[in-house]
Amino acid sequence: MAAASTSAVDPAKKMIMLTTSDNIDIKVEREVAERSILIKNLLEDLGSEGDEPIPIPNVNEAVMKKVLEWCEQHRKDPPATQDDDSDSRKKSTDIDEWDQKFMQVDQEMLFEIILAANYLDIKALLDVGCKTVANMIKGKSPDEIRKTFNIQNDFTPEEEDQIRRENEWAEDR
Amino acid sequence: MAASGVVEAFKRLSTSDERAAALEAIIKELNPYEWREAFARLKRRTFQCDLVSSLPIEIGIQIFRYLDISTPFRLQSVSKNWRRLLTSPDILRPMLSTWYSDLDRPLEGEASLRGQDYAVCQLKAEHMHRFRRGAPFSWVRINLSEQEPWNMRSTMPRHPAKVDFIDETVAWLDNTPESSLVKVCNLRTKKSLIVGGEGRERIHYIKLTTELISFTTFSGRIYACDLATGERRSFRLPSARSPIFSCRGRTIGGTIWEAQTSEESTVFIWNFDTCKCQTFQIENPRPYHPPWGTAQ
Repeated sequence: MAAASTSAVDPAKKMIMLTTSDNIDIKVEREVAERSILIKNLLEDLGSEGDEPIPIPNVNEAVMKKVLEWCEQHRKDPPATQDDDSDSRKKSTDIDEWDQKFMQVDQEMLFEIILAANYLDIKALLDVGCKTVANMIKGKSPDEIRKTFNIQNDFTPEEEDQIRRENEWAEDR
Repeated sequence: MAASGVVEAFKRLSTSDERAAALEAIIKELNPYEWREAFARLKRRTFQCDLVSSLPIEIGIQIFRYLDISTPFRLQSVSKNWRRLLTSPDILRPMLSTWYSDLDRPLEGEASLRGQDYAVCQLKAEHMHRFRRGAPFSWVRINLSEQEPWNMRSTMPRHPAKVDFIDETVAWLDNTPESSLVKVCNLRTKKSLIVGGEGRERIHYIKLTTELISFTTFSGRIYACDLATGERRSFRLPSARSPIFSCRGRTIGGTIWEAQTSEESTVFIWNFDTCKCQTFQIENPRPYHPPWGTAQ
């Protein structure tokens, strides 16, 4: 579809340009990019037609593409309500199927997606990332945690024993 | 050396597309022996990382809010970094805020831990963990009458409540054949109160507020007892019929249920402090006929 004149283009569908930390320009529909509150605010502050590329100095191309893939899928989601946080008692770590598949990445990528979601202020993506990590931790023993995240046990056996004894009450589930 | 020249050239590639293309070209040059070597090396790269202790603490807080309160304590022995993170009140306090509010009265032993943030968090976590496992530090058994099905916080005026609770206080009608005593117990402080009517008459139903326990008896009186002072007061209802009543703060209000055919009902409002009772009449709602109604 050729955009004959800018006025005929739906502003949500208008393409904007993002420049990633490794100096790559990525073209993306404004509505998709605006899942990021940071980008949304930048666009509003700039007030321009969005012709200038927007620099995103903290996110590289590979991660940005992954994040935009998520934004594309969730472009029509209703905006998050502020009081979602308030009742954490009903917090569940359920993740919808598409997001689960999306999060099947290695730990370094997961780490970078979470950091990018935090920086770009995409609350729903950050939540999915945190839930994914929570699910990796859930129900595991300290030893299983070390194996999962490749962590060296830097305690002496005596220290470890001492910590175990302090927290014995938390063991039985 | 030629090899370092290749590496330098690769480093100079500025875009990921160029690097990908160069890599693709190199891969094509590999012989099967080199392939095996490369494959073995690549397999050793796991992409694992210590996500939890590498992420900023505000994200750690979010992750642990999805986990059970015992988890940070159970996982302290993973590594020194984990222990540092998981003993931080910054992580523990938001997890505890699911179960405790700032308005809660201190737990037993909490006052002596003043200033020791971690110790307070641990005490609260242990209390909640044991409570959720069904093995709390302390508990009270309440024997309720077995013959009568009772309704918690009954909203149906025709089904009198035999048990009521508010905040940390519970009140119940004693399980004796006479049902002539109401027991009130604050589950946290264990302070309890037993109260009955003047003539130990049978109690009809009870209502608890943060300040009063009130109950009706079959003698046509409503009693109220101040939870703080234990002082008991009562007033006589204008009719011996049993009322539908409720209580808010220190005021009791209710109505006396007349026969279905009666056009008016008596409403009463009584205040514990002034001991004044007001009554007035209200018109009874007419029997309900749906608009699409049946022939009259």
